[in-house]
Amino acid sequence: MIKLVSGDGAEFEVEEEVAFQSKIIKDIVADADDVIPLPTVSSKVLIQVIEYCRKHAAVNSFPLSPSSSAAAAASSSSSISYSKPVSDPALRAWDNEFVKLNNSSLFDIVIAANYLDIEELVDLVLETVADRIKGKQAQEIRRQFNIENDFTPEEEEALRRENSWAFQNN
Amino acid sequence: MATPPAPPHRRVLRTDYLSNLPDSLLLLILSFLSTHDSVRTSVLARRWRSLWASVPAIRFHYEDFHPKVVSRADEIVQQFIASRRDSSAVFSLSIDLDHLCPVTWIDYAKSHGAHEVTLYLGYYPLQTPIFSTLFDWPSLLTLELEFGIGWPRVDIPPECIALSSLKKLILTVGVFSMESMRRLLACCPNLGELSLDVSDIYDATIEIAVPNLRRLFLAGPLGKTRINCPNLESLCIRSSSYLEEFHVYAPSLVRVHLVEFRWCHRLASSLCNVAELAISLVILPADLEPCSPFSHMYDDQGESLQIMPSKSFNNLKLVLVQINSEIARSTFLEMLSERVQAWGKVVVRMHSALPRSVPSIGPLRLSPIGPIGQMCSVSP
Repeated sequence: MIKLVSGDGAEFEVEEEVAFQSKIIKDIVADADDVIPLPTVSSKVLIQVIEYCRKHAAVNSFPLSPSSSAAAAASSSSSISYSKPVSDPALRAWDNEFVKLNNSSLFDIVIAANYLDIEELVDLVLETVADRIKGKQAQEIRRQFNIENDFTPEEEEALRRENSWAFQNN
Repeated sequence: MATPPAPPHRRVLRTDYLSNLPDSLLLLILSFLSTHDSVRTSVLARRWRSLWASVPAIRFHYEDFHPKVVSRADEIVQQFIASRRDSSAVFSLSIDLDHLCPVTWIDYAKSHGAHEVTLYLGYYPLQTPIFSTLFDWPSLLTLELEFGIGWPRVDIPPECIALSSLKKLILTVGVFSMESMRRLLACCPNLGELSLDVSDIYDATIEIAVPNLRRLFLAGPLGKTRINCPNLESLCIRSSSYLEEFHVYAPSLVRVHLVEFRWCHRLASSLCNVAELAISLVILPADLEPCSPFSHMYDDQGESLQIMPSKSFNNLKLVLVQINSEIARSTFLEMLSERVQAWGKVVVRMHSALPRSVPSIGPLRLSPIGPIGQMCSVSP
């Protein structure tokens, strides 16, 4: 068992194979003790991350998913969605439920997952964010993510002209 | 009593978490988007102004172009490539235009480190030399090619194939001769996943002998097919033909997915050791009557089970069923149960969330072997 300690001092005991979904933890454990302080991760976020790792650790060790070895080999390419190595439809459905969160929770998770180097979780969250941007007008995206437009109207217009092909809508 | 000061506008109080992410993560988000979408983010705010120029994925799709400019698509792609930050890597190139795809774009992606390439190639006589560039790419990991109509049969010169790292190949076969295909596969020693759509080939013998192949997806008539893959673990077949000469040597097979398939004696005998069996017969309507015109289709399906001896599935642990018709589903499960040694221990999962429209069996956009739900999605 490995003990993870969140920034607010909460302790979580998890199995090795769960914690080792994080490459960073795997590296740390190789040469140190088994209490791992994670000062930048709050307990609320850590609970969610552990939930994800627990689910995926269970599936990755499921002997029936032949793709999990191929998945490890293919995971060096981090972006393309169609090559997602999720082999189990139930796991895919579980992932889809897992990311049904508001934007600020998603960003908390992705920052933690990035820090812990859990590549599949980073990809899952970033792809979800991308889906919330896809096909939308600038004004809609700004509203959704609270992005403040700090361009003058003239500057914005100039940028639209610069790549006008991308701003013509069907 | 004095009125309290009006609260500041709510939006000012909310945090912009997205823009606060580091560049590396923002670029990853943008790399999931089409290039049109990612370029459009340049006007969101100053933070976003030039991120698009460093996005490590280039994705142009025909339908993203306004009809007024689509005839200039190749010029636009060229202009986009020229205005990218040149020091930024490209890991993925995906171009789906009904247009010329010049060698220069492929060269650009190659020289910027791309290891994933997805191309739709419309036919232009000048384009044939593209293959000597495309197939001479020792660092390429994933290649997906789809061809427009009108291509003549093309031979790939053996001396130009260098794909020693290729792990995943997705291909519509019609354009290459079977001899070229065989040579191509022989030059990919690390190929782990292969998707072949042979819908345009009716007579040829398809030979797939790849020592390290783990996952194979085949679609098309497949009348004469030989598979010799000692490490194959996962096999998906989509074929409405009778697979009379379908020889499979795949002793490591654990997972088989059969989509709209009919009858295959040879295949059935190599199924005995699989642990997972998935069946999709989404072409059958949900309200199928026992004597409807579709009934022969699940008779064929059943036939492929009947030719197997009773209790012949030794290791079956999971069955995924995607059959909307209740009557076909229960017939199938009943027949299957008689052929499984320990049926009580087998997990059976139903997948019924399917589009109402009946998908065509003809040429389809291949989806890689993956979740059963994905495998059956057919673009309209």
